[in-house]
Amino acid sequence: MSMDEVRLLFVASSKEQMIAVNTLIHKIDTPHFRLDWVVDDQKALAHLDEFRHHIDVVIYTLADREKGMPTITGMLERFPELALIVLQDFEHPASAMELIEKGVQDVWQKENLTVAGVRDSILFARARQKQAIMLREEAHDSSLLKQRLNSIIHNDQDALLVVDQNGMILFSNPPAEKLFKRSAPELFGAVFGIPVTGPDSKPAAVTVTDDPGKHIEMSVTMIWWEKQKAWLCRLRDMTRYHMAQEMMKENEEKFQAIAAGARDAIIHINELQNIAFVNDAVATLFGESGASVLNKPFYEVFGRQTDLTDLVGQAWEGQQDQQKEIHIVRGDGSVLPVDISISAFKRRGKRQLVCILRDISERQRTQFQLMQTQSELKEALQSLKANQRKMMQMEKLNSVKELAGALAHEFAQPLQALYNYLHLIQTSDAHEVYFQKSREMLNRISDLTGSLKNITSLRKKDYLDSQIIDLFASSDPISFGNGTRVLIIDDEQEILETLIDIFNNAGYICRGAADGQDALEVMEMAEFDLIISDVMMPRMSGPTFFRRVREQGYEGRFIFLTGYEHPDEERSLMEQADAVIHKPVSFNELLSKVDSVLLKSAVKV
Amino acid sequence: MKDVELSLYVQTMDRRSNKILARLIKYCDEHFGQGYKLHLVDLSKSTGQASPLAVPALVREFPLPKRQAVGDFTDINRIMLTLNLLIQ
Repeated sequence: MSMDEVRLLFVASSKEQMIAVNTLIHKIDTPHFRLDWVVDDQKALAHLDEFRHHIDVVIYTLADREKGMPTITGMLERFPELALIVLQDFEHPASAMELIEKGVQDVWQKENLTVAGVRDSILFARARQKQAIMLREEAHDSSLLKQRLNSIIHNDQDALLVVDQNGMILFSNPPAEKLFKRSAPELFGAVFGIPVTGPDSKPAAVTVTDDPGKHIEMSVTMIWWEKQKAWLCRLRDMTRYHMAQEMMKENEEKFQAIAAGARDAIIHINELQNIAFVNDAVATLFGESGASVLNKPFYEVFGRQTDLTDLVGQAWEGQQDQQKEIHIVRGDGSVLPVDISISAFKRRGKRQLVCILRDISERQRTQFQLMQTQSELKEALQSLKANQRKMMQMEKLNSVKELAGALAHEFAQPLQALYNYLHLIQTSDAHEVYFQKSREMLNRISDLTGSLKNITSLRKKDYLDSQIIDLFASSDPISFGNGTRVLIIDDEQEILETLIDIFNNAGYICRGAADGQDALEVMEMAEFDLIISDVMMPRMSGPTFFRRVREQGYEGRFIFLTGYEHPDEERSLMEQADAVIHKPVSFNELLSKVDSVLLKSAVKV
Repeated sequence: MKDVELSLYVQTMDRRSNKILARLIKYCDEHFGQGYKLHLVDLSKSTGQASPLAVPALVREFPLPKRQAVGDFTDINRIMLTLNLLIQ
């Protein structure tokens, strides 16, 4: 079947008629006509049902108007794609008009048939029918298209504008009306402006003046609209996206700042077991150069860190929140102790790990130093204890020295008395009395020695002070005589008494006092040429008394009589006196010293 | 009357607007010399003025007819081309 072949179905009323038409058609050279024929209306419809796609034109013979018209109407309705030509067996112009109006392509009159007329009629009928079909289809398609387009445009979430070449709005969808807060008729014809996108048609960021808070992205496509070029502008609200992006950026910056400032090394391993992030502390800790390790496989980068890779492996297997002390090997080969904690989290449903490593070498060093310091302290404490023991021994020694001094003092007093008595035995008539007193004194020295036997420790010094020294209580004052006036002050009653006796016998006018305080009272009532004073005395000591009498204007001689070594401060006062005589001293020696002092005063006068 | 009269509409004088203005002035100085007039309309400060539907927008007030461009102002040449003011 060639493209030029025209296929015909002829519905004849008689065989003769069929032959007549066939003869005519066979006379047509081009195009080639192929003719099928049937004589019955019912057969014709059945044939068309079966072969409709193989037939271009149907020629129907209308013999009986009443009978034929329903068949024609039926054929036009059932087979609208077919071209229908009616061959009228009778002449009836009004019928021909009616048939054309119904949709019949042409009406032939039996008498007027010519070869050319038939050919042209068939060809036009076919062409018109094709055109009609095409137009019908086009109309159908275009209405479908319009429906689809409208549905898309109205259901689009983005605002859509069609803008002509002068920037005027030709169309807007409902989201556009909402965005610009104007109805479609208000927007129609309004100036939007010629849309300009960024380089490579990147969407342009624009602000809608009625709602400036929104971030709008405009993308533009060139389209045909009502037979002219136009722009389809798609305006998408990116406000939430921008907010999310800003928040993400902020979070990212925060994280970066925290990570950068952290002294701990932070490694983020993503689901592909690649390194997604490391902070600067990682390079410092591992002593590696700053070469980028981002997106490199974790096991490749940290392969030699067996402690670390073991723990990370366990973490991948689901062991949660590892925290341990491990060792890492630094770039220079040294080994560093670190505390490591590994925690897992999920991003987009995929497991990620974060390792945090802390250098604890400093801590360990400090611990070591602490231990060292502790042992040093212990040693120092021991040596301190030893020193303390030495100090205590020294103190003991000093105490012994003090004790020895005190003992010397205690013994000096009775010995001095004994000297005095011996002198009096020699020089006075009352031998018996002084002999008796000497014996008493010897007994006292003997008692003193007995008492000392009880002193076995330093604590007994108090005992010594209270018991031994009390043995020699103060004495009562004695009466005046004539000659050089002498005041003798001594808290040892025996010494005081014997000295007074000796000085009286030697021609002095002598008076005694038990201590400095006592002596001051005596001096209020009498004047003296010479004062002989003990040093250590209760109430007021010798040196204090010396200072006081000098202050009160005493101009006579002053001699200290002492049995004890004195502190510097007292000694310097004592040196200002005319003489210092140490006990025990013989009376002759004492008298000669007194004479020499008095002689000095006489020479001075 | 100047040879070219333009109005630049911006929502506010932020960094982006400043950049656009600087580019525009540079282009106009280079290509129109003294023969242009440029109005700047900061919509955050001006009230009651008829504003474009969307900004940034550049309006060619003269030569007539008026023409308006809106969108991305990164490439001033493209804007000038849109407004038929491009001078190569």
